[in-house]
Amino acid sequence: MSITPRTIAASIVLAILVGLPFGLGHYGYYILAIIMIYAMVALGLNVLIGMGGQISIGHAGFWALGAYASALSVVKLGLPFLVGVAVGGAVAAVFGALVALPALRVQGHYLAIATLGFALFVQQVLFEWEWLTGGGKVCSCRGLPCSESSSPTISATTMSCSRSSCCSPG
Amino acid sequence: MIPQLVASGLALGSIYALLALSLVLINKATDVVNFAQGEMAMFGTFICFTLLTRSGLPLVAVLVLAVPIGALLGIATERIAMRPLQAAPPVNALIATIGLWLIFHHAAGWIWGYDPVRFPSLFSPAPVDILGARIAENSLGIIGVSLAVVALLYLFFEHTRMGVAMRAASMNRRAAQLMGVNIDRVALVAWGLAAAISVVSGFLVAPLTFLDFEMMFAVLLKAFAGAILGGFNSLPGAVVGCLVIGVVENLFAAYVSTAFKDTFAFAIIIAVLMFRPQGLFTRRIAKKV
Repeated sequence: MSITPRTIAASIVLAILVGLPFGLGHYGYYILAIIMIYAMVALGLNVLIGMGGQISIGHAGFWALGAYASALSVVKLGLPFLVGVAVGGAVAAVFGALVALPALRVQGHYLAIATLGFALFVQQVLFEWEWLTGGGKVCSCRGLPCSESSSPTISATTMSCSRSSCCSPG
Repeated sequence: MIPQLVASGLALGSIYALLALSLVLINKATDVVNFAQGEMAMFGTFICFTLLTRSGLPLVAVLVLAVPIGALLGIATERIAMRPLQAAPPVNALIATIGLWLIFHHAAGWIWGYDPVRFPSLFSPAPVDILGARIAENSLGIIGVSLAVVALLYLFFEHTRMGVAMRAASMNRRAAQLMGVNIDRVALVAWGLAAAISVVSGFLVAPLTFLDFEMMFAVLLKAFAGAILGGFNSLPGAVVGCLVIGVVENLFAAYVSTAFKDTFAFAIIIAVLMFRPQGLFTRRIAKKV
């Protein structure tokens, strides 16, 4: 592998990322976790918009599905956290495939509108499906569905907080 | 019961119709779907509210002033945010309108606070007897205001030079430009008009739901559903589509489920896009890709 400015920059960023968690307080961990979560969502969007040329502005819907699926599989089914993460991804993937069916027929603006509707649909179902998701309880963020199921570990807490932002209409 | 539900459904539908008209207007003139339309309506309504409480003007005067307020908002948005993107790929404009959505949304919360406020209504909720059915004065008033806006819009498109120029530009932008239509001005007028109409719709929604920085999201989704039902390219189609949405939504809420009445709009959007993407009322020649 040749050494290009790109690889140098990448290794510097990597070194910073590896070094950063040391010596940061709780709030620092929280910020780092949020950064990584956003980065993952951006990666997902990049696959869809950048590579696929398909516009989605309802990505928060998939995000919420994955968050709920992983949290619920940990809390209600007692699965280990990492398995829960995989379950979250799998559930969101299934719904992604479902959304892809209409997406094959529509393009551009229409697809954007349909995905926006999908996000609202997910939000409402999660909100109304109270026995499973806890409905609108717990999170103080107004009007947003959050499950009461977040376990008191740091990872799950950050997830529940990011979930609240993912359900907001933007 | 049914006549009341239909009447209040038509009232709701005509509010959606105003927002849908704004969406379709901008889409026809500039090929942009303005996802910030609802938030611009909400922002403009907040400005009206400030005007109302600070100046002590009567409510009707503020409703009339809502039109220039909205127009200025739209014109400023077009000049500042959308004009520079004219030559860029369409996705950029779309993402820009989502950015505008967030800007208006949070700016309103920041300026006017995050708590819902009571917005006075022009009309009383008292029922009026019409052909034996007791229909709320409120519903009739909303339908009346919306009809007036639609009529003015019709006159504008049929009888003014600018209106004709806008119709020409929406049919074939290039040809219209060659015939001397100023495309930039068409875009500017479309945004101004659209924002003015949408602020009127915000004005009509606010008394029903409280004035709130989140009040327009559900309305926007219904407006999209109605506009898609009408083909997204036809102003009359959007109006009819929204009226249908309003009535069906009201009946759905009364007889099936209140909780899922907003989700229902999503089902309509998906169904129409899957089975009849050209809308119910327009015929469109398939676009070659």
